[in-house]
Amino acid sequence: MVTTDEKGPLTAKKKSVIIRSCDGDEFLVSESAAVLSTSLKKILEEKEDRLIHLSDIDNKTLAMVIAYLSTHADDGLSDDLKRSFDQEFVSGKEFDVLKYLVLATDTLQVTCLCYTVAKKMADIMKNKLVEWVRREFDIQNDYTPEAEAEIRRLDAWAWDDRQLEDD
Amino acid sequence: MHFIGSFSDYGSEGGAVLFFVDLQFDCSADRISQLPDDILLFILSLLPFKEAIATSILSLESTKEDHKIVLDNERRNYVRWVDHVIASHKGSSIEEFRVFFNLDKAYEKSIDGWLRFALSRKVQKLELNLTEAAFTRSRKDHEFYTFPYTLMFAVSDSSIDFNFKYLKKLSLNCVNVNGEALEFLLRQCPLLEHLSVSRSLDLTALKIIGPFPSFKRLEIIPCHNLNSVEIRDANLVHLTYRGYKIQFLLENVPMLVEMFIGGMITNE
Repeated sequence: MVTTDEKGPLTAKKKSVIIRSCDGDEFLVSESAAVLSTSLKKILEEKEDRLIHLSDIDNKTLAMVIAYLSTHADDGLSDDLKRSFDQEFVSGKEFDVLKYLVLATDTLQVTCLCYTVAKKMADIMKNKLVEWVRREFDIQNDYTPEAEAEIRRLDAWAWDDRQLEDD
Repeated sequence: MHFIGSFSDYGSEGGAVLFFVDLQFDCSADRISQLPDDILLFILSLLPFKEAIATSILSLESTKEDHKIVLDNERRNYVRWVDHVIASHKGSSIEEFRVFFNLDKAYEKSIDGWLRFALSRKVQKLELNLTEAAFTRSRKDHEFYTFPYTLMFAVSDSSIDFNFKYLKKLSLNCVNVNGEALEFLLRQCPLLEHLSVSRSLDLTALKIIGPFPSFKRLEIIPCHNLNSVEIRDANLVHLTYRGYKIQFLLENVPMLVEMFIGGMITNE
């Protein structure tokens, strides 16, 4: 168990913060990494407390975000390396994982990562069927079949070369 | 407790992320499927235009009723897409709003609505570029969209709908706006720094008589009917004029450091 005690062994080492996920896991993060999140920065400015509880971010997502923050806070890494880290970071991730990430980065206000993740999601969505997008985002189709057919007819150019990719 | 240290040893293998994969994931009970609208919209806004159109039929919710104007598909689609984005926007402010499409007076209602929307969201940079491709110019003079300043004038007192207070940059291309409208705008926008007008057929004479403390940059790029420009007692720093030979009067413009005049063959 980690404590926020000033004399505790962990806090004595370096200025760091403990971030707790919604499922109770705790992460020790350097303050320089935490402040890359605008939300965390604000919290740290307002209170002395070194323990931040995030009630809507799970441990897996939080771990990924912290990995990103720690990498970007590392002065020893070149910008090129950070950029390739970003690409690596989103590649091969499942759409669901990206959804959690985009939500978490929005909550934590990590603008660059939020953009990178959203862009990756947009890239995945390209050429997907409307039904796929509806399913992935849980969007209720409130068109009548006639209204939808009419719009598809009017905007046929947008679908004409759409591949029938559906997975 | 997971200790996450420095990633200095992060190599080309990119193993840093994999380090976390074995973490137990136990929030599955409340897995999300729906994202908030603003995030969804943000993702959709990153799609190419054509893709965005294809997603515009995701659901009817928050789309406005279809426009009855029957012109070419792309214009109609564009207008609908913008309307759709605007109707879905939940935020209270917008920093920058740009419209860049070949649209004419036929879409006046929508464009008026977009401007109203942008101004009500405290927009800081506003660009309305209704350009036509140079090689397909076919728009008649009377078909140009006119900047609806009288409409704004009528309601500016209530100031609930319109908020010029935050406007820092205004750029109009292929939009009819006359000198009176520009003078009105300068008076209404205390923060306006940058004004750019091009291809406005209504602009015949422009008088800028200061002081407008924030106003720094003026660009006038071919406005074929413009005859005279008069600038007095202003804090203008940059001035660009491209077009025919016209009458220029500058008086007491002490901050002016950069001026470009010319760039076009005169009509004589």
